[in-house]
Amino acid sequence: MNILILLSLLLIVSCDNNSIKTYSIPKQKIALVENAVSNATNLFNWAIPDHWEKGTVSSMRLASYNIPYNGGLGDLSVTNFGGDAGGVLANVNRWRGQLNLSPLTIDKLENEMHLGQSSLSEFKMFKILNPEDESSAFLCSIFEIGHSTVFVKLVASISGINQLEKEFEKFCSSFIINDK
Amino acid sequence: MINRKYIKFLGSPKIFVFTVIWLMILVFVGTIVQKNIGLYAAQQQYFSSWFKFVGPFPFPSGKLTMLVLFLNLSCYFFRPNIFSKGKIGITITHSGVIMMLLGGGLTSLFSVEGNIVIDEGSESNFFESYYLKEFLIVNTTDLEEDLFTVFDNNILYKNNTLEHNTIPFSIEILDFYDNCKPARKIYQSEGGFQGMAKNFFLQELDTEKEFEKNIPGIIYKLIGAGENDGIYINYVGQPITEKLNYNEESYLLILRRQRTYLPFHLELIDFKKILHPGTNIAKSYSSEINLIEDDVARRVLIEMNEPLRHRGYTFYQASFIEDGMKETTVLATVKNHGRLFPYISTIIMCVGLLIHMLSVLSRRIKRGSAS
Repeated sequence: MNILILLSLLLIVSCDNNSIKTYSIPKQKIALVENAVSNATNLFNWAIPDHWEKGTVSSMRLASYNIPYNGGLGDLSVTNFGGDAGGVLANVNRWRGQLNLSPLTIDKLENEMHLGQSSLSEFKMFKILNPEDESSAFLCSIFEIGHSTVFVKLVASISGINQLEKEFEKFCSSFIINDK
Repeated sequence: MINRKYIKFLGSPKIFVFTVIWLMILVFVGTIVQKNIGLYAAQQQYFSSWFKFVGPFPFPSGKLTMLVLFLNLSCYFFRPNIFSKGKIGITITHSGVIMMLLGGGLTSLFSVEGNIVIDEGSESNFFESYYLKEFLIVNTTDLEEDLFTVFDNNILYKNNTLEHNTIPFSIEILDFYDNCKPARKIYQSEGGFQGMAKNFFLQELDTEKEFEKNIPGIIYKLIGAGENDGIYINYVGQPITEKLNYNEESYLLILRRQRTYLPFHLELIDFKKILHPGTNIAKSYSSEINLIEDDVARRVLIEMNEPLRHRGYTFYQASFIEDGMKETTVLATVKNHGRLFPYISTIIMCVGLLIHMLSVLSRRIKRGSAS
């Protein structure tokens, strides 16, 4: 009988005393997992002007907008990747490469960068244009939000980029956590 | 002698009868209130706890009732002559019931369940609990791997302080909500707030009937992290992970649904959905899975009512998510150490009852022929 009572007490007190555990996971795997979570929840939002038209959303893009300007239509995309998605310098140089511009070094990156502020986080904005190619230029913003990075990219002609610069910055400043 | 007194009292058939009646009342009330408070809350209050408080009065809940039933039935084995010819059937039946109760105890203590969500082309090696949460500090300083310190659901409550030798600071929980939403502060607070808490606060909400729909949140104070000290907020699904640097080490602070890691990976190759003709109602859906273990992959098809069972885990096709071009499968996952107990104990009880009935029958036949 004593054994029975002891057994029962054991059962009662054995209810999970390991309340703290530690383990290590290779970096890449968590980045992927956190990316999946952040995409699934998608809890941030933004505000757009009335004249922007919704574009086609793909599996890569959280949102797309066609933005009219005097002389054409700009293509704006919002994407979200896990981790730092390669880092700011690598992404800026990737965009520069798309416009046949030489890569920047880390010390010159800050000269090209404009810092903006939104409720979501601070963002780094870059105006990338190649004077030799009037047809295509970029305005890009990078939001580093914890374990994922949000990219906003506007593609238009150089003239379009100049016209839409303030509108673009205002759009990036409107990023907010979706509290609904 | 005292033991005998105890055994006689505890093993009394009266206790058994009252316990069974009380269990029936619990099942009845628990089933009725489930409509109003939801399945999870009903289960927690009426079956998984020791006591159910009605106002200030405690009533035995399912856990305590089952324990009393277990002790009551166990006392049978201390009676004399239980293996005699006339009692062997009853003894076997008692063993079956005891086994079933033991299985129930094992299930309630050690079983884990949740959802594993996999996108087509992706793989996963963990599932997330429907109801339980965990708070984790991730040290991301190392270039190769991240060190996780995980605080379980049962220590996430108001005024508790979380500490561990893997983290150089402590966390005082100021509040913990089962359901909340982040709301924007109308004006910025005076100092003391850090991260997202500078601009947002957590607004407590009533819990949802479907408990898994709740968004749990935590408000906590970081102590001993230098200039990072202050009040933070976290909630499940937070898009901005709180991060801080202290003593040249980087940390992330995350509240999420409790994860259970599997000793293998599941990769979703293809998700198929068949609709009833002319409707949008799913007739059946299935997931073609690659079960990857020790770098060896084997293909498995998980369909409705045809789960995958592997290394004690069972994966049921539970749901799916369609998001544009992307298809995602949701597999309900259970690890239940007491899974086989109901089957085995039912067989034992049947055998016991059969033996008992046969022995009674033979006695009656003998008595009949003698008279």
